[in-house]
Amino acid sequence: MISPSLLSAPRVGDWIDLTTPGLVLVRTGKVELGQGVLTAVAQVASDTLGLSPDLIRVISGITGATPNEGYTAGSLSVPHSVTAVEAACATCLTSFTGHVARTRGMAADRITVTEGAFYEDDTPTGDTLWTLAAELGLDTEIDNSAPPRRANTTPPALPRIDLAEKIRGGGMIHDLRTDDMLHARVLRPPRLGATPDTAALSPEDRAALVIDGGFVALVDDDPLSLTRRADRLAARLRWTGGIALTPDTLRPAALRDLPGTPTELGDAPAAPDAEGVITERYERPYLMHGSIGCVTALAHWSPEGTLDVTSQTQGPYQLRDALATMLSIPAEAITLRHAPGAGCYGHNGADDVAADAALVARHHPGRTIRVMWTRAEEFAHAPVSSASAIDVRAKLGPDGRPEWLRLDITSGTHARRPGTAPSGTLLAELSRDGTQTLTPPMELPEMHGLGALRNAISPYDIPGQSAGLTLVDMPGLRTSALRGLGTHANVFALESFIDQLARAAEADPLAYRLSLLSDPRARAVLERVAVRSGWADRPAGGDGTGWGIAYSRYKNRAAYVAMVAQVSFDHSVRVENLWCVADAGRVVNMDGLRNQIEGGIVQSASWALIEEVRLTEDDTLPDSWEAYPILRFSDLPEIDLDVIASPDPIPLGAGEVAVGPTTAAIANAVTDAIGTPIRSLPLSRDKVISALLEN
Amino acid sequence: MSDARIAQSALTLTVNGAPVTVDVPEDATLLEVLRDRLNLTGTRFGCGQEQCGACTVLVDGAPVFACTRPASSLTGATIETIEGAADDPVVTALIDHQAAQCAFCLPGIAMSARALLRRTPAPDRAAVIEALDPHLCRCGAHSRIVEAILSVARP
Repeated sequence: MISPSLLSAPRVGDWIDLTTPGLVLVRTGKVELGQGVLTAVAQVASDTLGLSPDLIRVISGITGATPNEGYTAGSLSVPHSVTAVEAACATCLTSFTGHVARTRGMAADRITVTEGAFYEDDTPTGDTLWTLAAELGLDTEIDNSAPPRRANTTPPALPRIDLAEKIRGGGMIHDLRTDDMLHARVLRPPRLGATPDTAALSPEDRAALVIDGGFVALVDDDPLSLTRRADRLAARLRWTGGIALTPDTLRPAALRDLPGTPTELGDAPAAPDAEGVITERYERPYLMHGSIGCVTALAHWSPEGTLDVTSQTQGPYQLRDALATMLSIPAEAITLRHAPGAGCYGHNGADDVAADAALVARHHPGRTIRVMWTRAEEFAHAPVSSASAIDVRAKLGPDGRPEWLRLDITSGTHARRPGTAPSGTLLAELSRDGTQTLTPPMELPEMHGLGALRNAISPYDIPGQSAGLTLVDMPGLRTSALRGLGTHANVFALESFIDQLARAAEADPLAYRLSLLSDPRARAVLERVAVRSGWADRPAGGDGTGWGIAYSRYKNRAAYVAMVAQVSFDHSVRVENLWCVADAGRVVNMDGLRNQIEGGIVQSASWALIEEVRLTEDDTLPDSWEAYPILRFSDLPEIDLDVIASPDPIPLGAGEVAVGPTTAAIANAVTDAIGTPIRSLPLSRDKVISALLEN
Repeated sequence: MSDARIAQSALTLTVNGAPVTVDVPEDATLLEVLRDRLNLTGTRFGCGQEQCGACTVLVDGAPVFACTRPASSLTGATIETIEGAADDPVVTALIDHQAAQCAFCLPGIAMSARALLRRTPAPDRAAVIEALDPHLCRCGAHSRIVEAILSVARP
């Protein structure tokens, strides 16, 4: 199968439209999140059809007008959508070429196509893509089993088709304005599940508000007037009940005290002979999305009862269906259109703000409702990424190599997006209905690359491997998807542990890993990163400087990534250099792929060093960048990224592939620098100092 | 309706070389004037707390956070926004270097870089990083951004 996206959109006409002569309209269900998918789609359509990119237009993420490709997530935009568009274009060209050849009674290989015009040898036939589409239609079924194209002809990268406008200050959902616009702000409960005492407000205040159950919002024609009035009203509105958070709530170890649902992975015995078993505990804290922009949505409820929503969602169809459930209207009554927002790295507030706008719109039919969250809402009300507590256990054979290896993970869910439950996935819905109980935690299945168990089985040649997950739910915290899901914590734990085994065996960490890896592609990225970083000639660790190495294959089936980190410790850990070698399979747009991997590296370095959700003095979630800092320009390492020219014809994705190895290599470098491992993220100044003191 | 009408009065500013008069509350910020009165939406709202740099514009040539700067303090000042800098070589360089992923933070960064390069036509890497340190980028395009700005500085 080329792409699962072709199962629900199997015909050429589902993906391309040739009704406007001279233009090729390409439809994709994946949406632009800053990852450059629209450019990759345009590039592959241009390459396959032999057309200048100027003649390609891409539309994306509009229910009813583009294919339903599920969520734009999981490093799958190129593997799913770009390959589908390529297959659609290839099928179109093959069938048109065949038709022209048959009509003219000659072999198809004498027919060529340039800029949409067909030629017999060098003579124009008079046919074009557009005349043939008008004559034959585009109802042809796409061949979903054709062998993928070889990778050895990566074309020059098409520059991003959306960047010039955005860098000059355009192209964002935040910029959309209409003449009938009404601005709205939701008054948020201070705790999940708290209910507003609207009865205690003055009649004037109540009349000014949209009150729908426990959902309270203020509207105004003027956004400046809105913010000032909302601040005053929020100060007068009292809330009762809800789930209070305490500092203990956020400790990863607190997860172990909760009841949970077990899931097993792998086939090794869960509790083999206890003698000689080595055990270590690792922890990763809760993390936040930290997009620089605040999520925004527009909604318009027509007098006829249809709803038009513009959203920066990752899943237009899934959000449409969740809104339909929330509003008790048919899904067909809703049109959901994607518009670009600031960077999206997972299930942030994008769907929630769309639900806010839709609920307000029902109370103000005929007006376009615009809701843009505040920075405090971004931090304190969007879903967070779950903490994880991990026990790694291994038994070594007589040669010092592990005979079996097991992870026991305790984690919240990474899957609470719209569509993961029949209802209750939208914040406005929870507030309206006074719901304290979130949708049941779930683990993503293997076909989606797993959730908390992602990369819980090591990539090494170890005879017996298994992993166990206890999926728990910390009351008061809405956890869901963030870049890479469980891969970050699990690769950190596994690669820290492998380094510990290497030290115990007095082996070089690179040599030890290679001794456990037979996959030539895995060996190739590790050997290459060693050469590029000068691993063999690195100085001995200590005196506040250190080197670390890590390896992972994302989802155990996607891109191969090897990483070397060089760190120093003065008043805090500083990552000086990172060397990364990746084998991401076939590359459609090399610059876009590199950009995505670089971005994953930087974000993971920030997670590794400083990121952790802590409560404010009021025992609420962080509400500002001061309470949840991320790395700045002056904190960033030099990054050397090398993407291997892979013979693999399959594109393996890029955006999430480096987040595990980056943090793991940094952690191993810190261990090398200070002589003792830190098994709990982030690798903060306080932890390094206490580790040094204990040592 | 309570608080339904927030008192507003006329304010005249000079933005991108043109005088403009708007009705705003007396405590209106420069960012509110730009985005919600003048429809100059290239300047971004990121936090409203001077912590991310997305709203950076130039006032009398110096980068300022528009999200907290009272508009009423700027009568007579020269205000430059990304809309007035579309052809700045640093904007072109950022595009040529594909120095962004989502690009939400880029207009603010471009304005800080414009101010830096006017002040210091050939800054070294450390000076570029210092000028950009008030800006947050979550996509991780930092090294491309620094390279793009240095490319303008190089002969």
